[in-house]
Amino acid sequence: MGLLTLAYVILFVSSTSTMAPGTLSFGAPYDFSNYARFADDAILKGVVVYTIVYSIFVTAAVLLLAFPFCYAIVRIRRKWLRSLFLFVLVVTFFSGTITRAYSWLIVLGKRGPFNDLMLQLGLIDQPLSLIYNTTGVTIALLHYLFPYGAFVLIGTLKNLPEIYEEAAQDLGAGRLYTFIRVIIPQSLGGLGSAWILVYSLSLSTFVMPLLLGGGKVVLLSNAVYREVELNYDIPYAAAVAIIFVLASILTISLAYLLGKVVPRVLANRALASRA
Amino acid sequence: MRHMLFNHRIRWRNTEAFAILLVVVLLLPLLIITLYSFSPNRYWSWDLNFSLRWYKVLLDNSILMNSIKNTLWLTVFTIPICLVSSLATAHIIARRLIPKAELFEVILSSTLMLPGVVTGIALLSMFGYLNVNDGLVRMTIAMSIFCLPMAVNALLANYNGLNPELEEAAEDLGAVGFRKYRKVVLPQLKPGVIAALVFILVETVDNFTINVFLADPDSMTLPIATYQRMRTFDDPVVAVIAVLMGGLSIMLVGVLGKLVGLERALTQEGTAH
Repeated sequence: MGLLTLAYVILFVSSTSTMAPGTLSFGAPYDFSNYARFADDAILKGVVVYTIVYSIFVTAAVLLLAFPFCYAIVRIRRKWLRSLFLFVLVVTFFSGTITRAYSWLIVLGKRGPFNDLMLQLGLIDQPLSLIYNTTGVTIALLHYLFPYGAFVLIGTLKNLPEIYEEAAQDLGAGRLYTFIRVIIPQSLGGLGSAWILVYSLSLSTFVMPLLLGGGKVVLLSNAVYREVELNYDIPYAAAVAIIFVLASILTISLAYLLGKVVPRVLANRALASRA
Repeated sequence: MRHMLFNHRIRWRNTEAFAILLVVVLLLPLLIITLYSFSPNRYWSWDLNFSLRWYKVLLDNSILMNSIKNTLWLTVFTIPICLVSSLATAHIIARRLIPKAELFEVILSSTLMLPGVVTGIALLSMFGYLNVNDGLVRMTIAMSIFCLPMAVNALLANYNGLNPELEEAAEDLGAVGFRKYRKVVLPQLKPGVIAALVFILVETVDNFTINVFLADPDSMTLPIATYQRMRTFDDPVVAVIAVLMGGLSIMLVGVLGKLVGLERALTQEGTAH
């Protein structure tokens, strides 16, 4: 069991040391020429940056959608409605990645139900191109990541005592004010862990760009896959993969640190304004 | 009491409406695809006629049916291996049977953040070195490794709720070691075991990113075969597969809800990932 984790570590080391330019087989010389190649590869470097920025955007969108949703789930009094929400969430979560990507291909396709409906309602004159571009990938990705973020947030929000919100309202705070000043500060921890989870998943996303991107949306995973499947350049792919892992560890730890520091700064600020 | 005094029960009508809207959007792809799978035509249209044409095409397609068989075999091998190793690992961590168990736990769960494609390539090169060429063997090992942290986390969440008095009683009555574990600890872990089982099953059936590197033509799993089908044909056969996956998902949610309670399983899942 522990050995399995060790195997993990060893195989990552092995995937670095195999770098050697070769034909279909690879071996000696072991050097860092593949990393040097990456340093000169403007396209791949662009993909790294794009993937990070895109993931930040997607993660923010997921949390923005999931937070009010989870809050509603936690506070809903009608039990059946709450069970229904949870049911839909878990069914969506379990219902298959490839098939869900396919479903979005159909729903958003040029002749698909969405465009068809919009045309018939006269809201658009021409079918919108919603797939094989960033729009389609983003929609499917939000749908894919939403349950993950929601699970973490529900776990946190469930433990929020309702009295503080009631107190705030009794003292005359409006709904929005209560939301921003009372509910959000209490759930920063959960938001942080949800951020880290969703962000790391969206960094490594592979299936959605592969199926809905039409070759035009290439994220880091897809770029690595391309090196293996199209160019059979496993050493180079491994080098890029290692850079990939480093980039994700680096940005995830950065997010983690920010998650530790920002709430403290905010708390200090709040104290200072009180004094 | 407060409610009665102030009659201020907070109601978030807008938030509720927003949540309902999101639920509809979440369900939308599954609903549309279900309609599509029953369509008599190759293309989508709103005039809904019922036909089982594409279900029959799926049943007659040997590649896809074979991939379903392969996927079943993969789960048959993976589930026991992964479950036994995660039970052992969770016990070692929860009972601090090795030094630095906390650190071990952190490392284990951080492997969940590794990109799947990278894990796939890493495993591919490892199996290359070790000369493991059978797709099914490779995927079984890969899935067991990959699902281990998830399953362990689900079990660990369960360890916190164990009743130590039961174990003390068992020891007083002479049950020690593995016998104590089997008779006293394991039955209390039931919700965690069920949750772990469901995660392993879902991940093994659904995984594409890692298995696509490891499968060989004879051992293609359903997601891989589905992907190839999508690239070569444009008809609702994949919609039928999507409906099957949706059905499996509803079944599993039913099992989870009945045996563990959905909300409890959910929070375990939240910590699991």
